[in-house]
Amino acid sequence: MRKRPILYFTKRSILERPQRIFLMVIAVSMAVSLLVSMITVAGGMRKRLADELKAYGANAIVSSSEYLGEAVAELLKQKKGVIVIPELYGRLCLSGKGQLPRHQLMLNVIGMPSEAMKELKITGTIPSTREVLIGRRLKEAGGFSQGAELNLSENCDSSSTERFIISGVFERVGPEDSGIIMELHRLQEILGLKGKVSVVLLRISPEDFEDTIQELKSSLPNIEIRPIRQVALSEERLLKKIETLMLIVLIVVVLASVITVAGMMASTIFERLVDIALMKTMGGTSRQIQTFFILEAFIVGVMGSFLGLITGIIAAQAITLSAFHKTVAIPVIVIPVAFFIGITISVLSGIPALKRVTAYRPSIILRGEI
Amino acid sequence: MIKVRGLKKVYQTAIALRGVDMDISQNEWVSIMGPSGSGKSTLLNIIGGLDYPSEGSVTIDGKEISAMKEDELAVFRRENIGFVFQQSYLIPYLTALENVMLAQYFHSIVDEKEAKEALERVGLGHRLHHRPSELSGGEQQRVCIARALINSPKLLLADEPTGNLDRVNTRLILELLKDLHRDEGFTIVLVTHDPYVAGWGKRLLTMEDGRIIKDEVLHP
Repeated sequence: MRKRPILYFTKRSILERPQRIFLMVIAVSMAVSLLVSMITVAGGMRKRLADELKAYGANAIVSSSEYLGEAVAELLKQKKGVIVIPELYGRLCLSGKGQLPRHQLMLNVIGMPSEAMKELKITGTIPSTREVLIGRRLKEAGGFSQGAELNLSENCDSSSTERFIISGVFERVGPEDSGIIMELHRLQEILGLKGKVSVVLLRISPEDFEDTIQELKSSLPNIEIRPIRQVALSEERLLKKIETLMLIVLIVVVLASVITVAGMMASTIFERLVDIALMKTMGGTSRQIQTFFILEAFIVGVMGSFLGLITGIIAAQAITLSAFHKTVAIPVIVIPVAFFIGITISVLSGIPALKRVTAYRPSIILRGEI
Repeated sequence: MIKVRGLKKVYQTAIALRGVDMDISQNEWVSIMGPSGSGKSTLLNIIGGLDYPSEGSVTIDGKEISAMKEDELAVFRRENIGFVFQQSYLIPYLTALENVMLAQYFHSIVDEKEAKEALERVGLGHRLHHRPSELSGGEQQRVCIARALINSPKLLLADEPTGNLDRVNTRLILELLKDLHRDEGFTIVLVTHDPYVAGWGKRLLTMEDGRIIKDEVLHP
C-alpha cells in the first residue's frame, strides 16, 4: 500500500460495491463483445463469400460462335482489376479404370492455365502436363483416389491412350464436377486446337462489374460478353447491406452501453458525494479525486473488455459455424480494439458526472444541499 | 494568524453573515457560540476555504484564502487546516487506519506507522482495522480527530464536534483536544451551541444573526 496507495484505495472501493461493478463490467462487455463478434464475423463473411465466389467461378463470360484465339485472352488481361481465365472445352474417352459402370466413358474435359487452377477449390495439387484434376462427383462415382492413373484418349475408338495421374480433386458448381481439368496447352495438343480456347471467363470485382462489361462490349464488338452467376453478385450486394446494418447496430449498442455505464457511473459518483467532499476537505484536488474514479473506471473497462473479448470470440465462432459450417480466424486487431473501446467507454462515460461533482464546493455537499 | 475583515455571505434566500471582523492568534482556542442560523458554521466554512464569502476577506498566515481558486484552496487546506465535523464523515469502506492514511495520501506520502501512532494517541490503538460501522460514535469522532491532525496542521476547525455525542464521550473528545492543543500547539476554532463545550476554549465569540455580538476571554 505504501508504494501504490491509489491502487489500494481503488481496490477497496471496487470490492465494496461488487454488484454495481459487476453490472458496469457487463455493460461494457456487451458493447465490446458485439464489436469483437462483428469485426470477426464481417471479416470471416467476406473471406467465406470470396471462397464461395471462387467455387462459383467467374461472373462474366466471353464467347463466340467459333473458337476464340488465345490473343483475346491476352487482350482482356490488360484490363485492370479483371481476372481472365481462358478455357477450352472438349470430351475425352476414359478407359477401363475405377468402379465406373462402363468400360469406356466419354468425359467432359476442361483445359485451363495452371495459374487459373489456383483459383479453384482443390484438394491436392495443381496438375502438371502429365496430371489431371478430377471433379468431386467423378471421384465419388469412380472411386478414384489421388495418385491413381487414368487412361485418356481423344475418342473411344482410338488405339492410342495417354496415361495421366490424378493430382487432386476439384469442386466447382455445375456439371464440370463430373469431369476432368487439365493444363490448357496439353488439352489443346490432344484435341489438335493449338492456340484456341472455347471461352474466356472473367472475374470482375462487383463494384466495377457493370462499367467493365459495358466497356468490354464496346471495345470487342464482335465478341459476345455476358454476365453470369448473378446470384454471387447479389450475395456481394447483400453482404454490403448486412455489413451496413451490422455497423448501425454496433453504433446503437455502443451508444446504449455508454449511456448505461454513464448512468451507473453517475449514480456511483453521486452516491459518494460526501466521500468526495470529504476528500476535498482533506486537501484532495479535483484532479486527485478524479484520478480515483477514473482508475476505477479504467479497471472496469479492462475487466469489461476482457470479458467482452472472450464472449465476442465465442459468439463469432458460433455465428460462423452455424452460417458457414466453419470457424473463422480471429483477427489480431480485435484485441487492441476491444480494450481501447472498452476502456474508452468506461472512462469517458464517467467524466461528465465526475467533472460536475468535483466542481461543487465541499460545504454545499456537507450541508446536504445536493 | 487569522484575520477576517468585513465578511458577508448571502445565500439565495438568506443572509448568513452581515459583516464579520475578527482576529485569532496562533495557539488560541476560540469557541464560537450562537443559536442555529446565527452564521457560525458558515463563518467556519469560509475560514476553512470550504465556501466562498460574498464580500470581505479571510487571511491566514498572511495568505488571503478568499481569493484562492478551488484547487489552490485544496492545497492550502491540506498543508494548514484540519477539520472535524459534527457528523463523523469517514469513508465507510476503509478501516480507521486507512481513513487516516487517506489524509496522508492527499497531503504527501502514506506512512502507516505514523497513522497508527495518531490513532494510538486518540486511544484507538486497538481499533485500527475496524471500519466506521464497527466503531461507536465517540470512536468515530476520535478517528476524525486523528485524521484531522495527521498532517500536523496549524489550524483545527471543529464544527459541533461533540454535537452527536453523549456527555461522557463529549468530555472524552474535549479532553483529547485539550491535550493535543497543549502538546502540539495548533490553533483551534470550535463552533458549538453548547455552553459547556464552548467553555473549554480560552476565548468565546458569540454570534447572532450573522454578526459577532460578544468577544470575551474565558481563560486568560
